[in-house]
Amino acid sequence: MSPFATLLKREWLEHRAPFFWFQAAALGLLTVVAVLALLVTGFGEVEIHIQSEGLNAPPALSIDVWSDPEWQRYAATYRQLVTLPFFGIYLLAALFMLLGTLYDERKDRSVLFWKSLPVTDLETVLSKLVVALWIAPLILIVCVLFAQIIGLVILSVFVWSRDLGDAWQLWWRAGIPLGAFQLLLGFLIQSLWVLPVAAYLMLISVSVPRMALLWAVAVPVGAALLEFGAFGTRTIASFVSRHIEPAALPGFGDDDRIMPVVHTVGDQLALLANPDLWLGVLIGAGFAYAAAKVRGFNNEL
Amino acid sequence: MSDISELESTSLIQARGLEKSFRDVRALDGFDLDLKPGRIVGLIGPNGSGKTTAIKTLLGLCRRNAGELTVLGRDPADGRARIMQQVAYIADTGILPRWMKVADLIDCFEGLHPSFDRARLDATLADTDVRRNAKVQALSKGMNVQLHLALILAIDARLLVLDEPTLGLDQIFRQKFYNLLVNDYANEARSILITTHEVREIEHLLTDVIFLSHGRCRLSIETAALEGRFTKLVADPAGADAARPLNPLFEQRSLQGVELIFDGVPRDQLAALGDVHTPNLAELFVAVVGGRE
Repeated sequence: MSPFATLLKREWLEHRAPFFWFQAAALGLLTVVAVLALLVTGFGEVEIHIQSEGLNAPPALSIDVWSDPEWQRYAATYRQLVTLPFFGIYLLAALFMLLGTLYDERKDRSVLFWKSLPVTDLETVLSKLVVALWIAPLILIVCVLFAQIIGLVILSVFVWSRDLGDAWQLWWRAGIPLGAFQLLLGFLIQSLWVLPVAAYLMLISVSVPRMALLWAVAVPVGAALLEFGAFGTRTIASFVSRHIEPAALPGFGDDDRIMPVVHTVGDQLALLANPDLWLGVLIGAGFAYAAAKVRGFNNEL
Repeated sequence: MSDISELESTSLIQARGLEKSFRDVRALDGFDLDLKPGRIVGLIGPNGSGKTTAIKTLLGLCRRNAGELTVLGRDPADGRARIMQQVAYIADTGILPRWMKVADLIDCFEGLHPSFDRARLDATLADTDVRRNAKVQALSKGMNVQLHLALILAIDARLLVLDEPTLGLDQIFRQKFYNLLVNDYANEARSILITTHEVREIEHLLTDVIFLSHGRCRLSIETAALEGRFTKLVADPAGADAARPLNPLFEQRSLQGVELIFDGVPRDQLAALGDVHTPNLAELFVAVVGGRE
């Protein structure tokens, strides 16, 4: 195993609880809830009243009468709804990992052990970013896939048991492969989009003596206030607001967002042509380099 | 030139005038060191004398403010990762990651160290109570040090740097630790730099000794040269009175009489005034450094 692969493994070992076990637990919980819901509504004697203006469903619901646009909209909504809880867990896990990882190693002084190994500080910082921005999302995508498939099984049984139409349609109209591809592409582009924020969190993690979260919020807020007070502009606030958005993930948020919602693969790829993304990558690379430099001499709290 | 003599001519560490300050505290104040292969050097000083800062500066773990430094031919401030391929380090408190399982830690160490020898690690760990499925935080302090030492013995490091490695360990563990060090690590191509304030504990191991006080080297000498340079005189009050004009470094009363330690005074000259001995390192340390603290 190469040294960098070993570093990735080391990061994975440290953070597998929030990145893997919490996701797996969420998958298990969703499965249990879905099965219980099926048992209650699908085979039970409960009367179902569908009152959804958005779905525009007739009282006697039949999926056979849905038009193609309806199918596309419902499928996208279904994929996104299933993704949301996993994304929420990932977001919190990544935030606390990036903010804590270089702080915790100073707190327990294990930084001295890691720095006694033939590994550069930049390799260490990069390995942490790769795990947070690339490897953890892969786990998320796998969990989402499982959840979507389990959800389809439950829905199929429901549709079949209630005689609501041809249940097989669900499987080929739900767009699971397309959704997985869009998530994968989305997270790849998203990793570039949020790089300035992720690397900034690591710079805070390696620099501050305590209260990393407070510092992480206070520094950009203070800088934005200073900028507004001095020049009357909102460049920093606007940049931060844009780059904490899930801009490359399909369907996230609403149309009132700062960044337009992406729907198609084309929308996602168009983000790569946005100069703002590459400016962020440049700033993120600067923050990552600075984090590595600071780690070089900042050993203890 | 033979391999050994070539090795001996190349310093593993060359430090000249190292300075390091933390705000208004000067931790290193012109620190010098020339460490050749095959040496076991004791860096001895009281708490706060700058030992740990010296070690961290030498290893590139903290930035120096001034001075020249090369470790294995490189400046550790720029090339720490390269240097660490041949340098091993154990700090004064447990620095192994507490959240890791021993087996995972060994795997990571193997993956990151190009010269790791697993068979050697297995052999060293076989003599300990360290369980591989235990987490590091579940190990006692003694086992923690044993594990760290086993990891280090499994790499082909040319320089081993130990910063108070036996702090908090009981006497039996200390003995085992130093036996392992001398029997399994030390040879003519490798060097050990060890800091401690427990002078007696390592006195018999050392080939060189450096006394550090307030960030400065107060004495740097081969232990073999101590006898020819320093003399301890135990005399009655009259003998002590006669010896005082020879400028003793240190003087104290004891049950045997008055003890005086001299630097560079011929032993024959002192022998006429009382009993003469070679001071042990603890006595010499107090004589050289004690007055400055």
